[in-house]
Amino acid sequence: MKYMVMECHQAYAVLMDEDSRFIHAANLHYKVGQVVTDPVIMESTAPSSRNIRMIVTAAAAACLVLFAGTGYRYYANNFKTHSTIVISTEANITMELNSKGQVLSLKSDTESGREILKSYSGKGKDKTTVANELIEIEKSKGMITEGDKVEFYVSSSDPDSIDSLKKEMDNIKAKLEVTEGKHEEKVPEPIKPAETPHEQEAAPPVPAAPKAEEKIAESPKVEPAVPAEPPVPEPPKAEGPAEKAEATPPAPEPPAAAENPPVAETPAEAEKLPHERHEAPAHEVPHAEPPKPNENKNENKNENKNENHVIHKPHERLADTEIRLPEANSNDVHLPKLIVPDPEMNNESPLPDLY
Amino acid sequence: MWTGSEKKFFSGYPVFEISRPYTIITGGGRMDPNAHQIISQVYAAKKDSRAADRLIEDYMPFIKSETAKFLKRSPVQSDDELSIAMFAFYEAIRSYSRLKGSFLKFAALQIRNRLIDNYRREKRNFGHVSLDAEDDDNNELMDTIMDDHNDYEEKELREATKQEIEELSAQMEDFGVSMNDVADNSPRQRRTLEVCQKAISYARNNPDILEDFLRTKRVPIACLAEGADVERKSLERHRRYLVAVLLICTNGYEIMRGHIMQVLKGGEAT
Repeated sequence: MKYMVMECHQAYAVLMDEDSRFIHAANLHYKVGQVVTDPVIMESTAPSSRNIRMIVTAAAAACLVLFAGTGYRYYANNFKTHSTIVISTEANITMELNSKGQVLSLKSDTESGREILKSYSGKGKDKTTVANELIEIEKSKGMITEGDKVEFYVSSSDPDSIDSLKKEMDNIKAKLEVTEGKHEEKVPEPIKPAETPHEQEAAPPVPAAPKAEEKIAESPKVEPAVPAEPPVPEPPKAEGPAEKAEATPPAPEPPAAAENPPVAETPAEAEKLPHERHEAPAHEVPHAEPPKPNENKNENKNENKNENHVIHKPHERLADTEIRLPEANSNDVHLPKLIVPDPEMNNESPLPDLY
Repeated sequence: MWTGSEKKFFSGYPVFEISRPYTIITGGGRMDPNAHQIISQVYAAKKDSRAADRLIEDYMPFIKSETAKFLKRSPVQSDDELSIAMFAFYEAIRSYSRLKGSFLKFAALQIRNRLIDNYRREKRNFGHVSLDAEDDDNNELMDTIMDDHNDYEEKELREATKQEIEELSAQMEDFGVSMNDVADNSPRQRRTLEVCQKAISYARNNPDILEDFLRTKRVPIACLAEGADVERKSLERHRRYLVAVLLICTNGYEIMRGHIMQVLKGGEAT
């Protein structure tokens, strides 16, 4: 580019380039009328269009980064799978959870599980709610029966979240207790008494319902007598009129009777309590052993002391659950979480208590 | 405090004759009362080129001392570095504001930065032999090279160009426009320049417009905007620039018109 010197001052010169632009430049001993090349041109004091473009680009990039960061964080919190819980039942349903513990999706690799998920969608619900609802559905469909073992397998990308999930599992246990009342109506499946003598022997005494136990505990003067023999499988004799009307033993207990269990005032009456006369099926508790008469007394005492222990009615074995959570050492841990063992195991579990 | 009213010795620097009293604002939070004077002088020099020339003349010792700091020697009048230092001082005058603190510190920084830039630019030519260099027989290298240029013709052309420019400057004064104003008002963005050139081309193709322009001494903005189909606002912003270029497009400025003719024809300058 050639520049024509239009005006000269002591410190600067005015040049005209071939684009007819007039510019200030250093006066490197120029003379008016001279045509020069490569002058030292004055920097514009006003921000140039290039600077403005750079500023706009930088601002746009900053906004983009900000929005992308915020968006990714929102996505990671709400839509990214943070942990997975597998409810190991016949349906074998997998819950994918976000970091808030809300269910993102439910999957199953079994036909029965897919059938359940056709009619149920727990998206957006809390994992505890969904787990309880799924168990309820499976119970209503007969996939879970009394005494079955329900295991929860937990995996998470965050090792810290394993601990929090342990606590959440406790909540599931609590929720299961809450749903007991509904379960009585939904599952009318009676628990038949053991027919064989072996089964009778194998059936351990079931701890009393919470209210009944409390009442038992409140009457220290009268201790329940130690049964000399395993309870005879007889239809439960309810004190309420509704139960009297039912002649068949396997009929489920009416809600009224469940809510107001009979109070054991004497050892003889305590023997007559329905849950003591009730027996679990042999196949549900294959490892069960016949109760020892001398241990029965201690069992009741331990039950009173154990606050975390859940005591339910004999036919609601699902409520008789105990959550066992081993220590999580890895990011992906498969842990049996919810176990429905023999009622005897409530006090003396053959498995080591891992937490 | 250096009042500048008499000869002063700087350690390691040459002695300058101080022709006019001036003040250097020192640090430490104290501001000399004369600092207000220099700031007002700078603000006056922003608007008036003559005031700027006067200020530069007054602070010539300061400019030379800053150049000497960089060159590690006393600068002479023929040094490009001194010219660049003066130009940097002029830049400092134009870009200074009170928010930037002491003017002289700001100007010293500007001078130093400019000299460093120039040094980096000239570094590319290091190792090249100057045409003014003399050989063993005290003959300049330029004399030994065959030159196709005709010095006499070049001088004639330069004189003719100078005459044209002087005429243009005188004619621009009638319009109340100086070369400095035109340089300040000249479009910088390519798009704006194209808008102005479109309007100028339209005026060149319509001699009536140029005649009206010379007669009325007013730029026919509305007519140009309508005829060239450009935004009137863009033309109004560069009115003084349009005055200069429209004058060049009138008869009598063939050399200057030849300099910018390629662009006026619609071509691109190389």
